[in-house]
Amino acid sequence: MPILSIRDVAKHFGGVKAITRFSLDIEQEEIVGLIGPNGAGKTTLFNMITGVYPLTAGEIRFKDRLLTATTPYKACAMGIGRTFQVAKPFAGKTVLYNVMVGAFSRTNDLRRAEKKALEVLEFLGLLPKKDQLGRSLTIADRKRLEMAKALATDPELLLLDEVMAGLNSKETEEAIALVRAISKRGITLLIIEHVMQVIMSLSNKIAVLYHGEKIAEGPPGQIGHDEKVIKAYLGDEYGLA
Amino acid sequence: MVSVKEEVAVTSPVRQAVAPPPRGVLARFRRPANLVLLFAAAFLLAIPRIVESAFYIQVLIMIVFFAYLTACWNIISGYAGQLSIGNAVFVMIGAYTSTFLFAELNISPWIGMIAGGLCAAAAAFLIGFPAFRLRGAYFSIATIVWAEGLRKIVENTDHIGKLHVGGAEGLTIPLLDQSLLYYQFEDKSYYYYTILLMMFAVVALTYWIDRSKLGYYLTAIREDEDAAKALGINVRKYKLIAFVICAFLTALAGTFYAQLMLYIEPSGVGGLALSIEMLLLGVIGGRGTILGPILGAFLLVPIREMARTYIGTTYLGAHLVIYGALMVIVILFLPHGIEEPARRAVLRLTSGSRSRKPEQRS
Repeated sequence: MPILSIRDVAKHFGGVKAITRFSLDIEQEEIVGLIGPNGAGKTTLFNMITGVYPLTAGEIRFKDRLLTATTPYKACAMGIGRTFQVAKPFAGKTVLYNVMVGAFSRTNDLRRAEKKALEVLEFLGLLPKKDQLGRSLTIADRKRLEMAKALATDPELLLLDEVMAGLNSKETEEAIALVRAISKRGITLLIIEHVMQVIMSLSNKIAVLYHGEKIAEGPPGQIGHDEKVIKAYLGDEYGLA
Repeated sequence: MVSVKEEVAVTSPVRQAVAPPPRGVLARFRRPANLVLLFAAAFLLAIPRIVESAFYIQVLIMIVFFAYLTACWNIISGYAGQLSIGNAVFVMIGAYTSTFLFAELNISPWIGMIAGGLCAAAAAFLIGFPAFRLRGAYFSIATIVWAEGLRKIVENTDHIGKLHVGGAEGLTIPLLDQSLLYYQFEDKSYYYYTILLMMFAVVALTYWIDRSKLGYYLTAIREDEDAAKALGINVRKYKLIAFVICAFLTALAGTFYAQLMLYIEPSGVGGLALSIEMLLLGVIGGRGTILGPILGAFLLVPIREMARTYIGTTYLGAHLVIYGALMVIVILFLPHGIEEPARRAVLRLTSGSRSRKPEQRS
C-alpha cells in the first residue's frame, strides 16, 4: 500500500488551471523526485498535499486516510513535514529556538523539545550554529534549518521544496548526503529540485509536471531518455549528453 | 579610539576563559542580574514606607496600573504579534461588571473582578473567533471597532430594564466602608500593594509563557504564520488562547480602577486613548519581552501624570502627543524598544566582564 496516494487531483485558481490532472503513488521509504519547468505546478502540488489549498477535484490519501479537507497543522500532526522554497526561518530567534518550535509538535515539555531539537541539529550538522539568529544564516544554512525544523516534527513523509537551489557544488554534495541520511531513517521523501544530476542520482522514481499535467513517470534512466520530457524540460542538450 | 580597540582585543579572550558564553534559555538569567530584579521588586514593595505624600502614591499607583495593563497587552500583541488597539474594552467590561454586581446585588468586588474577567474573556472569544480567520491588520481593526462600538452603546444607555448603566455620565461606586471585603481602603497604599501584586503575578505568568510551548508557539506565529502552520501549530487556536488570557487579566485591572477611583465613565475606562496608551507603552518598552512593558510604563507614565498635573485638563491627552513623539524617536534608534539595551546594560554591569561585544537578541 502506498504511503501517499494522489488520485486525479486538480487545482484551479479562478480561470487559471494550475494543476489540471495529476496522479502519483509514493511507496514507503521511497525517494520520489518531482521535476518540471517553472510554473508547472510543483509547489502548488505541495500546497495541496499539506492542505494549504483545498483541492478542486480528486483526492489525496496519506496512510489510507483522506487528506482532502486537511489544514497544514493537521497534515503536520499526521506526519507530513515540508520545507519552503523560500526559506522561512523565525528570523529574530536562534536556530535552536526555530527547531524547538517544530519539536513541540510532539511534546509539551520544554526540556524534551530542546533535547529533540539538539538531536536533529546534530544530525544535520547545524549544532555549532544553534545560537545564531535565523536571519544571520547563509542560504545553505537556511535550507538546512528548513529541513531541521521539518525533521523535528517527526514526519513519516517529508516534502522538500528546492532545498539545493542556490548552493555551490560542495554544499550540494553535502545536501545530497543529508537527504540520503534522512531517507535511511525510514522517512519517505518527495523532492522538488531543478538540479538534474541531484534528482537523477537520488530518486527511485521521477514524476514530470508540465503545465499542470504529469507527462511522464518512471525510474531516472527512463525519464532521462523520454522524448516528451526532453522536449518540455531537459532540453535537447541533455538528451545528447 | 585606539585604546578602546586594544582593550577589546585584550579582554575578549580573557572573558572567554573566565565566563563561558551563556547556554540555553536558563542561562540568560545570570545570578547577579536576578539580584538586580529582586532589589527592584523589594524597592517597589518598600516605597509606601518611604514616600508619604498621597499624591506620589497616586502617581505610583497609576504607573503600576499601566505597567500591568501593558504587560497584559503584551501577551497578544507582543508575543503573538497581533496588535490589539481595543484593549480598553476589557477594562470597561471589568469595571462595569464588578460595579453592577456591587451596586445592584452587593456582591464583593473581588468576586466581581473574577466575573468581569470571565465576561471579558468571553468577549475576546467573540471578537477573536471571526477576526482570527483573517490576517494582518484586520484583527486590529476589529478590536478598534468592537471597543468603540461597545463604548458608544454604554455611553448612550441609561438603563437596561432596572439596571442603572449611567450613560455618558458614568457610575459612582457606592462608598460603603473601608474594608477588605468591599475592596475599599482609605489608605491608598493598600491599592498600591494590590496592583503591585497583580503586576508581579503577570510578570511571573509572562516569564512562564516565555519559556513554555505556548510562548514558543506565539512567537513562531508572530515571526511567520505559514512556517508556524507547517510545523503543526493551530495558529487560530493559539491566537485565541493568547487573546482570551490577555482579556481576562486586563479586565481585572478594570475592577481595580473602579474601586480606586470610585467613579467610572465609558470614555475614561473604555476610550480609544486608553487602548492606544497600552500600545505605545508596549511598543516603546519592548514588545514580546518579559519586562519591556513594565519598563515602558515606569519611564513614560510619570510624563503622563506630570502632564495631567501641570498642563491640567485644558489639553487633555497632551501626554499622548508626547508619547507619540517619543515612540518615533525610540523606534528609530531602538527598533525593539528600550528593554533590549536596558537588559544588555544590566548584564554587562553585573557580569563583571567589560566586553563590548553586543549580545545577540533572541
